[in-house]
Amino acid sequence: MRALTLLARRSVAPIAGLAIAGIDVWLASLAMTPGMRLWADVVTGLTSAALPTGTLAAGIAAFEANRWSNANRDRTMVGVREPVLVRAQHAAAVALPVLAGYLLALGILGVIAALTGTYGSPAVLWLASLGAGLLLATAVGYWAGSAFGAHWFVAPVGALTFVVGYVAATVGLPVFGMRALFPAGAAMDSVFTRTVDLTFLGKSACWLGLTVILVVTSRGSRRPGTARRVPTIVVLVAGLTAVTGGVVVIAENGQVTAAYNSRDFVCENDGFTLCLNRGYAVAMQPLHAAFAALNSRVDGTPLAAARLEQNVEGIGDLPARGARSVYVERLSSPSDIEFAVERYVKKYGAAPHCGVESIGVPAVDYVDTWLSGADYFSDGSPEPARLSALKRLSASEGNAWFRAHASAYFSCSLTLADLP
Amino acid sequence: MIGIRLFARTRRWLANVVIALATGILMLACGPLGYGVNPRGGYLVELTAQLPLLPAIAIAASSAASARVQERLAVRNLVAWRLAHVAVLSVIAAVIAGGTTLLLPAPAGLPPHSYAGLGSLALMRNVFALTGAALGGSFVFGPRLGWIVPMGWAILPFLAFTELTDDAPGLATLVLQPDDAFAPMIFALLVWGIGATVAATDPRGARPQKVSPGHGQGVL
Repeated sequence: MRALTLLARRSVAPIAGLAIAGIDVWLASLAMTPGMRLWADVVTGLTSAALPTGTLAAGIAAFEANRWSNANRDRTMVGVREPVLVRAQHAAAVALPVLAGYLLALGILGVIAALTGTYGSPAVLWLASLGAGLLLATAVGYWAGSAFGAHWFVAPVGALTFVVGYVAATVGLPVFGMRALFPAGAAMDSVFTRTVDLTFLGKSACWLGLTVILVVTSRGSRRPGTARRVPTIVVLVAGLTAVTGGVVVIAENGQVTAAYNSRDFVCENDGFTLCLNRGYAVAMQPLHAAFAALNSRVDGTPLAAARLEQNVEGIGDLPARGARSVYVERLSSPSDIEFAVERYVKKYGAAPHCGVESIGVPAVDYVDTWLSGADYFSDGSPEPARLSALKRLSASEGNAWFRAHASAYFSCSLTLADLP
Repeated sequence: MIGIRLFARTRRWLANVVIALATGILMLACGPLGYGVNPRGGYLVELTAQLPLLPAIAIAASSAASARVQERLAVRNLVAWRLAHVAVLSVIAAVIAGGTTLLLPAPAGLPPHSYAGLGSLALMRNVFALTGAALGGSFVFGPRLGWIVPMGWAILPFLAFTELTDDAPGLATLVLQPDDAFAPMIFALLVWGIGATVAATDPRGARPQKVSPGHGQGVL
């Protein structure tokens, strides 16, 4: 361990580790949903940081491997210890500060999360696979750095290898499961998903296996008169692990999340019930007020909300019996709340009955805009006179008008002449 | 004249020209190809915009003098020659990158920040900006680690900004800014000027990599 520390301290890897910690914390902070504190966003940020941190790790490892192997070639050749062990020890000395930087970032983010009451818990296997990916990036760089002599292009090539690999995997591989095998990629974690653990186990196994293979097969000096020795058993076991992990990932098609609503709700009952995920509880008050305003206009019609549950649009959008879905993803401005109401109105109002033609029914569009409290033109253009007339109605007048025209609205036969 | 020829022979011209030409060929091959970087962002990063990284990093990494001791002890002032060296290589790379786009048909109907906006001027600007960043990085971290700065510039902003319009001055997301973006153009030239100047006037010359005599001692 002392030797590892000595080697690490003589390299630039500790500085790279600190840089990696900084990049991780920075990008994880940027990934936070406006107005919310969610662990899922931290994981998303760390995942997106895998590209720059992997690139840095690969480049630094290439630089260190190249510098060290050139400076110690003769000493390694005449040393007592097996060259492959010496090389593996140096690779570990480069990789450890890099990994420590990632762990430091996790620690900092964990403390921040604890202090700020961040909702949820980190996806441990996901985070572990990111660490394994970082080790593989380091190993790729180390291998590249030891493969060439003391040339000026070695370190940049190590870093570029990782970026080129990312681009190639992103745009070049047709199968999603194969793309997922690259140790950096764009994936989002969410409160409304569960992680597919098998994929992350497969990724970690594959990447750790490849890391071992790259380290022990990295080109190094050999003793005079002897063949270069590679520990066959180690390579076989690591190869088997890597292949097994890769097969698992491809079999899972690289899927990392599946739709899932934990129904960890906090609810408010006041005329109607609004249930939001605990992580989104900060949106409760403004959202409840917005739906109360909507209910005051649509009371007595099928559009009135009785029980609302937060959900995500699309696959997995299955509210409980008698409940309806409400969608809210962020809370940075009042328009986010208006957008939540607008989506409710579009989903449960006339639009589904109008089919694809709804956009061609201006009267329905105007009513939907009025009900959701949104602006018709987001660019600030003057709104249509009929819409303005609707907006001028008081809550009771509006409710009376909507009840009178509810059947026309829901049958999509509402005309501009029906509007006040 | 002999001095210039001797100086020129210590520089890696052929490698840089080959890399610049290869970059041009890659630009032709990639065309408007883009890839997603930010899972929260709804835009693609055009590969062609980032390809100037290759000549930029090569110029900075290869600018290390092969005869360091002689250069450091030289009576003649080599600042102008070093500056001319990086200037000539930068211009060659920029002309190849810019000229390549003239051979490419600009896809119609794409939004302003997509490939259609990245014409010759934008790619030449990218070469100068990234080369300046690489030279500056070489000054700070050494020639073999100078790539950290331009690669960080070409990647990190796209992970930070969910929309390109969030970067109003367009300096962080410079490589994707269109031809007519004024501030990025000025900034690129400024970065190149600073990078080339510090690289040329580096009092340590092109610094050798530090390899301490006892590097790795105690572990063999």
